[in-house]
Amino acid sequence: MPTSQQAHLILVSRKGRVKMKKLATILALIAIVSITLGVPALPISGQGQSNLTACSEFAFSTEEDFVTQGPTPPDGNPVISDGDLLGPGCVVCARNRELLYGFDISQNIDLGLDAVDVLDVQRQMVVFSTELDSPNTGQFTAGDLIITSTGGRGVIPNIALMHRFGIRYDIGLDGLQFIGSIQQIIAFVEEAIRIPRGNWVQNPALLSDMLRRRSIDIWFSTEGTGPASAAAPQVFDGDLLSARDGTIVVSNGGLFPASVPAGIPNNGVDFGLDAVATDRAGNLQLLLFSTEILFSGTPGFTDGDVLQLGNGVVKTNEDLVGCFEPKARFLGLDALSISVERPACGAAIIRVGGMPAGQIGATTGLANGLSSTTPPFEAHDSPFGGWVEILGLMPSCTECSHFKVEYGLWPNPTTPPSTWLPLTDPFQEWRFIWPGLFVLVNRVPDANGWLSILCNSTMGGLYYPWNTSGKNGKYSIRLTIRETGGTEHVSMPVVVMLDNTAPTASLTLDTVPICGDVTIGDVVTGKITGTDLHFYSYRLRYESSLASGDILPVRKYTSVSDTGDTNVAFSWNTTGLPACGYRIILEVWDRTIVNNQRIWGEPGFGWRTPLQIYFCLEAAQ
Amino acid sequence: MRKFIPHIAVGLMLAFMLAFLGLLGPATGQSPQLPSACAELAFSTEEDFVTRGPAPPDGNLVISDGDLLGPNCIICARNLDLVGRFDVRVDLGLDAVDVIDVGSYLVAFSTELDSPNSGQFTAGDLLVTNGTIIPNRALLAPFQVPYDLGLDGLQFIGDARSIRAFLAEASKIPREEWLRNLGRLAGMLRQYNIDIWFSTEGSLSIVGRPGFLDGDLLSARDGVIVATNSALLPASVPAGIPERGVDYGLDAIACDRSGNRQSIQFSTEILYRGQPAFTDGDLLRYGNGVGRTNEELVRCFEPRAGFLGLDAISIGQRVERETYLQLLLKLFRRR
Repeated sequence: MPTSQQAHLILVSRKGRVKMKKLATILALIAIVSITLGVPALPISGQGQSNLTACSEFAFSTEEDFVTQGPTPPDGNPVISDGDLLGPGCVVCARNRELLYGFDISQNIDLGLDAVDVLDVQRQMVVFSTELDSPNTGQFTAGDLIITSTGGRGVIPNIALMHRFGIRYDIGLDGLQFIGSIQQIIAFVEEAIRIPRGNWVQNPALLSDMLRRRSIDIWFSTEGTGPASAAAPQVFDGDLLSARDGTIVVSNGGLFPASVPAGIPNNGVDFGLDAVATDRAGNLQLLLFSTEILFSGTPGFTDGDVLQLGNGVVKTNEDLVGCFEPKARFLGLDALSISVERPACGAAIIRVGGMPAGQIGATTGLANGLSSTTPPFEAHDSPFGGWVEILGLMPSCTECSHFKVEYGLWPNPTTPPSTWLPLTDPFQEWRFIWPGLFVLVNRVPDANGWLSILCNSTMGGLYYPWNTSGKNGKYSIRLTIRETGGTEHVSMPVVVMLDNTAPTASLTLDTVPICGDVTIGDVVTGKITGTDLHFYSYRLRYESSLASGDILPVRKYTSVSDTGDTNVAFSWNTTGLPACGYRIILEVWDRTIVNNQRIWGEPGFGWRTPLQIYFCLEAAQ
Repeated sequence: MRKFIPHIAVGLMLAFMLAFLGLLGPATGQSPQLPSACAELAFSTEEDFVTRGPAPPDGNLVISDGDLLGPNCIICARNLDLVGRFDVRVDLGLDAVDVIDVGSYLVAFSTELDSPNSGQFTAGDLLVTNGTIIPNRALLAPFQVPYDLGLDGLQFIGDARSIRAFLAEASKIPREEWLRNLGRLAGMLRQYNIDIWFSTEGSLSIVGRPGFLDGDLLSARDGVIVATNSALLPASVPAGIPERGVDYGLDAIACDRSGNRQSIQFSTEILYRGQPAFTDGDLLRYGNGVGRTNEELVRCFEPRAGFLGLDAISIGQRVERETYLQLLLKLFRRR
């Protein structure tokens, strides 16, 4: 099989034979340019290298094909295959044919994508496995580890991965993560692509030897369960394995909280290990993965969610694929690659409105769970309003110089923004000067929103308070950090729903005039309305200095679609109450986190609209 | 002595009939036949688990995703029983199945993994316990697909005797011969007036030519789509590409031998949360949503989790045990 470089030279040779003299110079120039630029691992067709860059930190594939209703891929084809490599913000980083480029496989053929680790986007170095065997007999199987890079392509057969487990047949490859120094990993890969598949098959021990020599490892999971043997532990397809040591890094049971019955035979079920990723140091606390089957207990998860070791769901399948706006919100998760190593100027928004960014729904922009404020509060499908604090992860102060925060309005509920506006309002920020001086400094962004990075800020990161007054609806915000050399790093956007509109409330009495008198024993009747797009609760009470109580039980929201009630009738029997000055008060709250906090205690929450009617309750004449 | 002979004969007959009905326990690897109940229903799960229900006859409580399971949580066959016919001694999973004849232990199936015996069969090949290996490319030849696309669901269509006759002839044909003459399979299916309906692991998309999804049901004889993914699922489910938006896959498939589409039951690769909601372990009816939940299928195993997935299914004619028993008892009373 010729490489593209060889193919190119063949082309030069053939053309040269036809019109040698006339074309020689041009073809030689083309050849020189091709070689100078490097042989493309993925075809550069407007969607090759640049889009793979988008997957440098996060990449995945789905279980099934679907049609994107969201961002249109650069090639114009809205059909996303389960073999395509997808990135954050629903970018198609590489089509399946691009991953297989150079393997002499027809462009029409899609072999699926079952495991992936994006090693180095500059070298376009990706290791992966497919769902199907190569159509070229003997080239690779669906269980082999496939390498593509600018340096060439290679195949490490499954039996080399399984050699240390004493398994001499192809048992599939379902999840994949390289461990160790990235320089050593790249060097290993560059060495591995020069070894023909047949050599690995003849000498499968070579792999573990090479991994040991470079102090790196390949962690992986399989499709099938291995046979029990005395020489090595029995492996299940839900275990995370080490190719170097022939050991189980984490058994299936060790991946889950104790409440999940994972692990055979002790707990009862093998949940599989369909996708896996962690940092290159092999920090198990950072291990992220997905399963083959769902669990409907607690904590519940589907086989498309991203789970954290021992900690349940950290990202739902809908969070992953929602921005594609597919017709179904579940598409499965087959392969996952996450670069936990952060570039010196890597940008990330970590907190919005007092809520950890991970607690904000990626498609709804509504927050749930506990805040990261002191004292904490609990959000309930909450939008944001008022001053919204945006906090970015603090980058290297020596390598990064400026940052800016931008926002964009969703043109409709399902379409992310395509234009971004910088936040340019000035604000003040506390700065700490050693050994004990706190200084309030004025911060004034330039016209494009750029601010210098304040290294000794006391705010806990890159800080920007966003005055959202007057804004309502779904927005995305993003953070950009500029290196001292000028290179810019853009964060993944965070969706935030804004609500700066107070709830609607009305309180009418049927018979009692405003500021009129009521006789003890009368029944006061009327109607109330309490509504909001993000309704939380309403309460109708009577109050006086001598007696107070509820007229209607507190009404709280039942779901995100609950917008409250209109024209709810009530009646208040005043029999037995002491004569006094009274008021009937209706309070309606929404769920908005206002000024980074929960303004009201139960049964209130965010924006409040109160209405009250005063009168005297008098004894009968 | 003579007066006992009729009773002995009846007793022997009763024992024979009970054995036929599978009441003497499921088959092991050495059994010449499957439990009769496996003609009614046979399936495999997506993952391994430990049964806390009926203990399997071999005493091993671990149920593999390669084992063939039957009604009331019996084990029709261990994976090693199925692949052992091919001199394979390891569990290769079970991705598709059609129980052709329990009496003669005739089961068509596919595995999750390729054979460990180099070049013997792939996970996309159709295997039969009589030794038949039909390579995936032969199934796909009428679609002009020159490579292995996997085999995810399987159903033989046609008269049972014709299917058995076809398989008897197929067992004599080496895999290499099928590959040498890729059109032979479709020709034989036409000759026996039968068909093989199946689904694949991968989709086929070729510019300028009709393709298919891994969620479509295909005919190996005619090279046509028998039922599209969109036809299998109710109209409210966004199934089918490109029109409705999502390929749900077709992980397991079964229907009656006449090929009545209304009798199709199947499972998908991914779940759906809309209406009608289903998981990828539920048994769905043609165009009609959930017929039986995954939990209903596996509950009697009393597993620690209520969901174990559904990878292969075979559904046949219900054996009317009660009818047989009534006949036997009637016969016994006459004596």
